[in-house]
Amino acid sequence: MTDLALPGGRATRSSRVRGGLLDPALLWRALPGALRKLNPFTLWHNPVMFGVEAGSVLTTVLAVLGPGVFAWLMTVWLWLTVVFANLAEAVAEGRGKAQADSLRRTRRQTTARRLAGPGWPVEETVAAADLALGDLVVVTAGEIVPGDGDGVEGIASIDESAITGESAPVIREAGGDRSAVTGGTTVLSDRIVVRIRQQPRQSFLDRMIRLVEGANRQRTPNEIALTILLVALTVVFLVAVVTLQPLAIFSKQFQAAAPDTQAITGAGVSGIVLVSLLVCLIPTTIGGLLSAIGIAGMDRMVQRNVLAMSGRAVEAAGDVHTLLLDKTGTITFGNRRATGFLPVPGVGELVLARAARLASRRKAGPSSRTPRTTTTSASSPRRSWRTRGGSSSVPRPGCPVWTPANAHCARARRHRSPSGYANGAASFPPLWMVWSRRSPPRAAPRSSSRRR
Amino acid sequence: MFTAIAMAIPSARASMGNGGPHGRYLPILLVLALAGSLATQSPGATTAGTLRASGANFIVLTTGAALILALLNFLPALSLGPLAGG
Repeated sequence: MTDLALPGGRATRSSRVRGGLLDPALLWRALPGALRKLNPFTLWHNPVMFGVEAGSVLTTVLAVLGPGVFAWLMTVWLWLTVVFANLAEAVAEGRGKAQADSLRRTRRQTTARRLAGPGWPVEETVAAADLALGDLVVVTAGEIVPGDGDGVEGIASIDESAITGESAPVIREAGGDRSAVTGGTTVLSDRIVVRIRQQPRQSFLDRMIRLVEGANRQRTPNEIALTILLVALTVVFLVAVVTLQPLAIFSKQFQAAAPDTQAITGAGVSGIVLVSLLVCLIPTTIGGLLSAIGIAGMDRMVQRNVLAMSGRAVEAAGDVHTLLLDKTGTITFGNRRATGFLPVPGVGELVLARAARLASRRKAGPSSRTPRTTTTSASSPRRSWRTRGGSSSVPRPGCPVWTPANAHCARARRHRSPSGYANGAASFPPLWMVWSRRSPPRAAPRSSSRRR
Repeated sequence: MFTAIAMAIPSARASMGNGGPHGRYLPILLVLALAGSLATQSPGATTAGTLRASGANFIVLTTGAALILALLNFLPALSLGPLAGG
């Protein structure tokens, strides 16, 4: 269920399906699908190619009745035309399905620890996608919440930057009005038992995959308009070709002295010539490739991680030059992070990095959480910029953040966070006030790893 | 070609006579009705993809489409005319 990138992870570029224009393997794989599309009940959605297929059938019958090189050559060409058009559509659809498969592969396989049995004696590890509504899962420090739900036992501090973009951790506890947890967020400390309130297979990525590989593709408005035009042209040309036959019969009767040719005899124009003339006149190329173009347009957008929700959106995207995004954690890594240092000439990169780190300390308020999790590779491969013991700046429900009023708490003093408040206390009352009003929770873990 | 048909097939004379006004005025009436229904609609927004109803592009497109579609009515007879005329 949690398909968002882990905090600290990057969207992989390998999710793009690459294929050459005439990749033989792709064409070969799409051939069965192309042949399956020859079914007239599915092909009649494309009126032009349906007409070509009808002509191909007629030509085959005529070639069987009156065989000849010309007849069989025409038959082969006509069938190749239909199959090629179907092949183009099948290849486009195949790439869409391949893209959906690669989306599935890049989805992080989050595991969840499901509790079962009365009193929860049994803990089993399942994939997050297999969780059902109402399941109970336990999430401890460092793990990702597998799905949306409510906390039923315990209390934990959760980093919701992947969802909300807010880098300061929040407290979620069972009971009360702060019990809802969101899938994809990371638990930073302590332990919470969550009852899943999310339907399985309804995550955003699941819906996206269904859309990408869906056969019910909405036609774009341009496609509909073009199809109407093509049908009109087909009808006009059909009438023109059909009127040719009685005129030809009359002409031959009127002027019997005119020599018979392969194309026109006393019985009129031969059927094969008529069908070939019709197929040459009607817009076969556009009619055959139109659906492939529509599918390819959507597929190209998905390759660039843009999901088009309708056909009109695909066409609108073609005119877009600039995209303005309100940056939230749902688009990028939620916590602010410096990925590189660009010093002015004369200043070393290491000096700048150190100065940036020092500048982000000792400030109150949520905006103080500037580059704490700086990448190490750019500035110094061997030194870590993280504070010693990563979770020391996290409010711990046991004896929480160091505030000036909390200085009497010896344990808080020992675990004093260098950045002062971890949360500016604007959104919820400080933890130490909460704890003084309530009794400690029933399951408050004191694991030895958190003692320093 | 058409005189030949008129001479040879008497019943074709009446139908060819009917074909003139039906083929000319009926499409004109239908196109006028289409233009009337379009005139009552409010104009859409002009975007980068709008085909402007002026300029060389529009003139060439309209004239070419009208010529080709009208020519199709006569091409079968035109192509077979020399054959019938000897």
